[in-house]
Amino acid sequence: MPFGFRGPAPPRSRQPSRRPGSACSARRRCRILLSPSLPGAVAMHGRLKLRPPDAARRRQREEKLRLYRSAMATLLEKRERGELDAEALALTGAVLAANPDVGTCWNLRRCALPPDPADWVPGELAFVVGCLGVNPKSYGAWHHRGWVLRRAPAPPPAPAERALCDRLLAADPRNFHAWEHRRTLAAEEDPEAELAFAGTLLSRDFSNFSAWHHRSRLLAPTRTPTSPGGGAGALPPHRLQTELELVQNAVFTDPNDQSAWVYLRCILSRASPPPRILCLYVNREDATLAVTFSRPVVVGSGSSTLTVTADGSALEGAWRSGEGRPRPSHTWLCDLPPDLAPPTARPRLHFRVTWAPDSTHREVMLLPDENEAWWQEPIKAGELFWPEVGVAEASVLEAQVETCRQLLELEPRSRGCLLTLVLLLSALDPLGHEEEIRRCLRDLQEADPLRIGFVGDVASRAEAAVGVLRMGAGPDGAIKLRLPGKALTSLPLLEHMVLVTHLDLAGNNLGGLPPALGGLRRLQVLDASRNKVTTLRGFPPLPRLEELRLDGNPISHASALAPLAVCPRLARLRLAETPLAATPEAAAHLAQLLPSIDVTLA
Amino acid sequence: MATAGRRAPGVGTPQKDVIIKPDAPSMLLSEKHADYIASYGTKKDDYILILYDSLHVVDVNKIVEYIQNLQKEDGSFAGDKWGEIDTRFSFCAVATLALLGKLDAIDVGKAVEFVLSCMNFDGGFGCRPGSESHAGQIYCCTGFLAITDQLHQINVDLLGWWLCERQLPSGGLNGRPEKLPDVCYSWWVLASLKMIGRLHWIDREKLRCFILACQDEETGGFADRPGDMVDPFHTLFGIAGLSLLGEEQIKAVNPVFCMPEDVLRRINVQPELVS
Repeated sequence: MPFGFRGPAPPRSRQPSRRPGSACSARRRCRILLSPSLPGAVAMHGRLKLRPPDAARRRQREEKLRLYRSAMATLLEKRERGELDAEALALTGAVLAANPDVGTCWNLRRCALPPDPADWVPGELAFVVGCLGVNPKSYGAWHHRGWVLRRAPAPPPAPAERALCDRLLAADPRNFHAWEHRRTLAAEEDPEAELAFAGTLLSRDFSNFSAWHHRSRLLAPTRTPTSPGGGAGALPPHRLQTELELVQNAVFTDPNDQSAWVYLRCILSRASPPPRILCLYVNREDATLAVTFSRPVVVGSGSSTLTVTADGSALEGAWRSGEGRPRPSHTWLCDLPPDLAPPTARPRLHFRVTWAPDSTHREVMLLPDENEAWWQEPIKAGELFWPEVGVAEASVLEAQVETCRQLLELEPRSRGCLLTLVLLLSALDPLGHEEEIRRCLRDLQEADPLRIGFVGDVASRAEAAVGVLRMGAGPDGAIKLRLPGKALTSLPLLEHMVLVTHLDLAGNNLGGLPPALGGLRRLQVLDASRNKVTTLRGFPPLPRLEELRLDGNPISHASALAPLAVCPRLARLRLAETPLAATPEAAAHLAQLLPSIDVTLA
Repeated sequence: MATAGRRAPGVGTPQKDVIIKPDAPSMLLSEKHADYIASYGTKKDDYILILYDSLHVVDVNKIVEYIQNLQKEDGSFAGDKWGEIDTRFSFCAVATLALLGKLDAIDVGKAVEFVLSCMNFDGGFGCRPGSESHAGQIYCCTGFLAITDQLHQINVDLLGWWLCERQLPSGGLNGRPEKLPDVCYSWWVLASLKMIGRLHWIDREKLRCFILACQDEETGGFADRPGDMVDPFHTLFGIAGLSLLGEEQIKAVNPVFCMPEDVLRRINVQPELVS
């Protein structure tokens, strides 16, 4: 049955096809669904359901339908005969004037226009205006207008086009076709006038995101989140100041409207920095070099984007993802050839890694008395939570913090304000503002019951950032990261945790342990007890993991633990207070599945 | 503080939204919908033909060639020879080619570059570079990036935020800030959230109630919002949205292609999503 209905209903009776030449395989089930091709009947927006039309209205509709069908039939016949002439032009006009969304009709109209644009440009422009009166958001009508303007021998003055946009935007200030049309004109014209126009619309209604967007495009037309080289910073300072004042007006007028808050975030952001190397880690015993990036990347096995030399000689090894599957990953691994680090000799080794896309080199030296060595980029605290923050001057961010704090005194439940304050405080000093950030996030949970999942993950990111900044290096190279009881619903920022040896995630709300944990090549002890883990599907092979605590998780089946079989050093597994531990066969199953692991069930 | 605009400080404009009446439908009316769709085609003359399991009747090479010729130098795709450029057509191009197993027929790298150039600072995507973010375009671009295995280029947390902000107190989803909710956005927004692994960022139960309230108990089918006229377009997306929310009476629907998962599994076209 169509549309994926499952269920016991018998197949519907088949409808015969009216299209000549349609094939229908006798052997295969070939369902033909039929629907009238009157456009607008298949998708309608904002049409209130009324009582069934009376006889007169029904006759009217049927007459309209008859005229439409007859016109289209004639047009298609004329097209077959190569007769796209003045009569065809008139017919397309009749159809489109009633329904400007018939794409085929616009195509036929363009074919039927005489060769010299001078004959028809003004007429076509007027015709489109009429069509836009019927549907101001008709893609077909707007495209035709653009098509006509490009062929005009002398383009009409921009004021006329702008006046058209003015009228349409007065009726619907969110008509993005009209906004875009203005932007194509604005390219030649005075950006200040356009900024003023957008400003006028905003002063009527601050919740007009189309107007905010228009401003951002005018102020920095080439600025995109994916600009090559990632160089696009925040707006020039004097421009930024004007926008910040406008935003301030907006949020104090209506603190619960989201548009201005979204805009604020946009103007304070820069393009996401492209992936760069965050960490190199080499381990002599594992004979592996691990490279961790700031964002997931794909390194093909024979790729030349990531290359390594050891004491000057290129290593030919293939790259594999630290997550155990060839997917975009933060961490990529290269095996060291056996002759490079033979078990008896322990030479000093100098590794140099080159990432071709930004031509950077990173180096790490492994000394004879060392089993492991690493290089790690110093962490920039302000960029952990909000990596796209694009404003360098703390004073600008601090001024915004003050605005938010004042607004919250008037409107403590403004969720846009609460989230923005969290972003700003995290960009300034995540540790110094730790408590205020937590308070805002708690308030946000209460103020935004629809988006509990979102706020939970945002709070998880804030806690992870604090945890990363508090990581302590202990004796014997231990690096411990403690995040117990932080209500974590997800585990972000793992790319900054790759040197951790002990990770405490006990008493959180984690539903799973992500493959990105595979970057933690030094991890020895992972405490994930009392979470909401049901399966370890996707759990990566961790070379150093010795102890895993999963007590108090809703794990019911031994098979859920199968991925642990590939952790070579895993010696201790705790499963007390799991549904699995309560089953009589548990011990036997686990002994079979994970023979070299000491499993605690009680 | 400055008070531009007509509203007094601290008093917000009521958010555009709908109210769901207490007697709105709250259960899935499968049989009614089946009847609605089946009877939709019993009206006369001129029909759109929809074929199932009949790829052998189409000329694959011609389709591939047609799509190839629509790709421009900057990687974008026109809709047809008349040259309208839109990320919707980028999606249609790769979806078509992926289903035919011919994705390598176009310059995928350039196509990706173009789609990424349509990304905005709010995390969303528009029709063309510089266009305002819109849920429909976001669906097309996210689907495109799923098919071309480039979902890791999306700023997932930022886009997820923009998308989950579409949910209104009625539980319905709109397509842009300050617009009314619409059942078809239950698909565009929801499928996008699913593709980037953030479905849990909206209130699924409230959305489900909204979608069910858009059913017409008399005629079957779904309308864009409760009380409006039904049509097949919104019926499809209401059903597909419910499927993504885990409705047991409905088959699993693939969020990239809006087709049943079992069909895509059979032809081995199931792009990997962000988990």
